[in-house]
Amino acid sequence: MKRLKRILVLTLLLALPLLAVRVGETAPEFTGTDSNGKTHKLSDYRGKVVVLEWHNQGCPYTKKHYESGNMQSLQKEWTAKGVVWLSVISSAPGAQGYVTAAAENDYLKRMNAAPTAVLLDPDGNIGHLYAAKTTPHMYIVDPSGALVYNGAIDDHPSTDAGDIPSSKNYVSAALREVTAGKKVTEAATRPYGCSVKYKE
Amino acid sequence: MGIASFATPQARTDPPSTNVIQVTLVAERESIAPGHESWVGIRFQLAKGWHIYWINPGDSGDPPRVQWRLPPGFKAGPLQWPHPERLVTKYAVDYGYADEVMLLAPIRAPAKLAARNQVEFAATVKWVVCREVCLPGKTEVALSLPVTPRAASQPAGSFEDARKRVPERAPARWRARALAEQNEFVLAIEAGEPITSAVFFPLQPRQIENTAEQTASAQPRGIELRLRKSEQLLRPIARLQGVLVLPSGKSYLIDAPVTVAGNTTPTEQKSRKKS
Repeated sequence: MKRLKRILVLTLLLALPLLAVRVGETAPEFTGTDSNGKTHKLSDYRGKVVVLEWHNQGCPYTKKHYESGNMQSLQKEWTAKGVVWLSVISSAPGAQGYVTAAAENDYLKRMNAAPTAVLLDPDGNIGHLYAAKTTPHMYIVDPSGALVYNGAIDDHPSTDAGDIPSSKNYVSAALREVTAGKKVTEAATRPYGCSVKYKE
Repeated sequence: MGIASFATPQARTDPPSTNVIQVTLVAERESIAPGHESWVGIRFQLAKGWHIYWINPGDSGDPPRVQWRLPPGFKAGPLQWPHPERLVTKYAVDYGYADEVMLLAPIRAPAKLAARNQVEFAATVKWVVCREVCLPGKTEVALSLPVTPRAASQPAGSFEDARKRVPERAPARWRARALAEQNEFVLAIEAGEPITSAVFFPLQPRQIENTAEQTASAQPRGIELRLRKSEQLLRPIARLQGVLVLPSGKSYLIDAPVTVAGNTTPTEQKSRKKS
């Protein structure tokens, strides 16, 4: 009986992270600080569509989408339509891709990037909450706060910017549907990229 | 490009990817004959700590890509991928290769070969190699072989070792079935004899949670593996396909029809039901 109880507790513990990020369920609430020191809560944006983009400026998969200007044009297009775009950096201090707020602001300027904000998540709290696996790894939250997309930016898992023109951009497709009040057709795909450099 | 020149990777400077990986094209036989098939291998040698990826790379990364450039009439068959290993970090599990791996491909020569001394096989190979950082890379590899009227004898050696790691079709007497429970797949392999332990590598991403521990239990006539379903699996699947690696290093292709727990009929009609 005692053993059974222990197994039950263990199972529950193991099962907990499972409940976090299923498409169709409520997206986990978080509070994060951006590169300008401003606090953002996911629930602040209830009523709006929110994009979460896991980011690492040194990762070749992320570079593919920034050096080509692909990510910036998505950011501009969709924020202009009222979508909130939060880039999240979960690299730990000392790990590859970790940046200070000042360095990130320089990068944003240099790259002409246009997210609503960049959340600095050096402890990996937001990353673990969403089980973000790669950079990039993209999530979309609908106006009711439900997670409606979890996965890759597009269907070409490569580091080659030459693949972008022939790629199907899953995020664009999902945003077109969710902003039109439709159900997202392709709601989960395999994210591709570098692993997120979490604190060990 | 010597192996001795491996650079220590720094977080902020990208070392050229060729310092941590060496790619070569090798042939199994010393010559090629008209109408015959000859095996070639793309060998990746990796510096310590670095890895490349399998067809299903797991939680991150991307498998290498090979684009052949062969003389007219020569045809390359599909790449044969040795079974991968689980590359485990705290928050991610990748499926790939460390140290050294050789991808194999058969190349068939045309039945009629114009008289010439040598043929050249070449390929563009692209990869992503990762340690704490990931580095994309690309190289051109080539080899030339003399054309002989008869095929050269097949030597033993590195190709045999590589071939041993390529998954085989499961023996005809084996039966594989998967039961879909709420959070897990229970993959049952009936082999006619007990299998003490095994690791399953799914061919398709987004079916099982890569980081979840696989619980294997030996059965009198096979083995049962409990595999946690992927968070990203939103629809039921008809088949669970992958590679089963045994402690001996032997590996088999598994294609298991999936039955939903509580349902007596498999989700796919064709699947064989064994009582």
